[in-house]
Amino acid sequence: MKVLLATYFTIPQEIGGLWPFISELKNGLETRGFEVDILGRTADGSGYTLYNKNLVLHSDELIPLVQGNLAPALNFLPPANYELARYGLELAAASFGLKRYDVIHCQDVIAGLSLSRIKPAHVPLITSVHGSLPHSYIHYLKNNIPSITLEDCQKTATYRYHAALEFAGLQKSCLIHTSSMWFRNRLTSQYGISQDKVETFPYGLNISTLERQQPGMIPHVTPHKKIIIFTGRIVHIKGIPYLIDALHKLKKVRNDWQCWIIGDGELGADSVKKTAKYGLHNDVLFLGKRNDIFPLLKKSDIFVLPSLQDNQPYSVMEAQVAGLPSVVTNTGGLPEMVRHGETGIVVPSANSHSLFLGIKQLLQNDTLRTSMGEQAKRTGLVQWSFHTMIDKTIHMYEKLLYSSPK
Amino acid sequence: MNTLKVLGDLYNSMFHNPIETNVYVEHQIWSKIRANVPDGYKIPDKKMMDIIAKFIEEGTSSDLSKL
Repeated sequence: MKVLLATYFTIPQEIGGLWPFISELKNGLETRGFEVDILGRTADGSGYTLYNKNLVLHSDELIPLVQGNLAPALNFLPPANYELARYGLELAAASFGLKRYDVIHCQDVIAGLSLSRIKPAHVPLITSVHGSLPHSYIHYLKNNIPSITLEDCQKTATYRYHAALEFAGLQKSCLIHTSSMWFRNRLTSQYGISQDKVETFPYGLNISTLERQQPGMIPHVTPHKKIIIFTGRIVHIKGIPYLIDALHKLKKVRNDWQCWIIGDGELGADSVKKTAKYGLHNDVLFLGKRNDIFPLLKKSDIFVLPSLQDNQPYSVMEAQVAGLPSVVTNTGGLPEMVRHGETGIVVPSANSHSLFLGIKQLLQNDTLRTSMGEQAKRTGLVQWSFHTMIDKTIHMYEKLLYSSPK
Repeated sequence: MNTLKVLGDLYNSMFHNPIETNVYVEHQIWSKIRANVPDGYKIPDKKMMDIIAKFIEEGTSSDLSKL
């Protein structure tokens, strides 16, 4: 079977989970005898690529003619460059050709929308929805205008444009895949998508890939101190300010910990400043973006993720299979990942005091912390099985190919 | 690869409201695209433009079943 994995976004990406997911999915399918190509925008955004075939089509070959013909229509659209790039993806896909594929598996709704216009009628198109376009825009606004309200975000034309793309992309897909029930329910309720059209199964972790990570520099830690670790982007949606506030409270009552913050992002500089203001510069270490996250997790004791919204972050999966108990917020798909009282502690989001109490509880109770970590590893290895994810992905392809009209 | 630049007007059939753009394009690339797109393919996607216009006007609270 020949499969095209397609995304509107740039590949490979240095941050975020999309590229690791796509590349691991490709590898997993190929080990089962599938032929897999990857279509996306080039890493520098200057064109389109059939990545594994080393084929590149520069935007300059496509966009000027589209832009010239669309100029009047684009006037009312706030993000005109999104529209141009979307048509560019359609034309690039036509240039590379889609007739050879048995299944097209898009990794975002924009790619789904674009390729639905280009694909041969008999080729089924599936879209895996990893995140919400309009909600990502809200968090982009919040990163830049912290005081903006949700209602004001939703009134912007750009937010509504993204919602339109999401709605249409979902409509055009033969089948939709979500990794969490939370996201499934959100899509079906917000956009009226039929439950029959949605397959839900979690992402899988390729443990052997994680085990191959070579340890880099590990900060010196005083032996009696426990390590609290955060891995992810330092952006509004991850709730980092609440973590720093919680650690400020923790420092007032306990001194037996150090926190490692792994990652970078728009709020990095502000977070460092806030940490210094609280006098936590020796307690909270910003280690930047690292390629040895799994070794760092294995040196740690407690994983924390104070997200304001999240679907099924890889960071939690990795922490669990590394044997760490988690303190996460009760938002998005996180409560589906962490069983409160069994594999970690689930606290209300945007609440630094609850976060502080959750971390403190795990810090002060060695037995609880250890047993939750062991349970997290046991369940994580099953729940995030890479082979199960590949099995279910193939089942999804077969369901479309052999049981229904496209 | 031999290149041949042609006036983009040659591909007017792929646009709903073609405009005289004076843009030159690579003949080999655009001919291949035109040969590979489905019958009736045109830019812009008019149905999508209607959906975008409706969302921008009304937000997501509109009756989605009518779109």
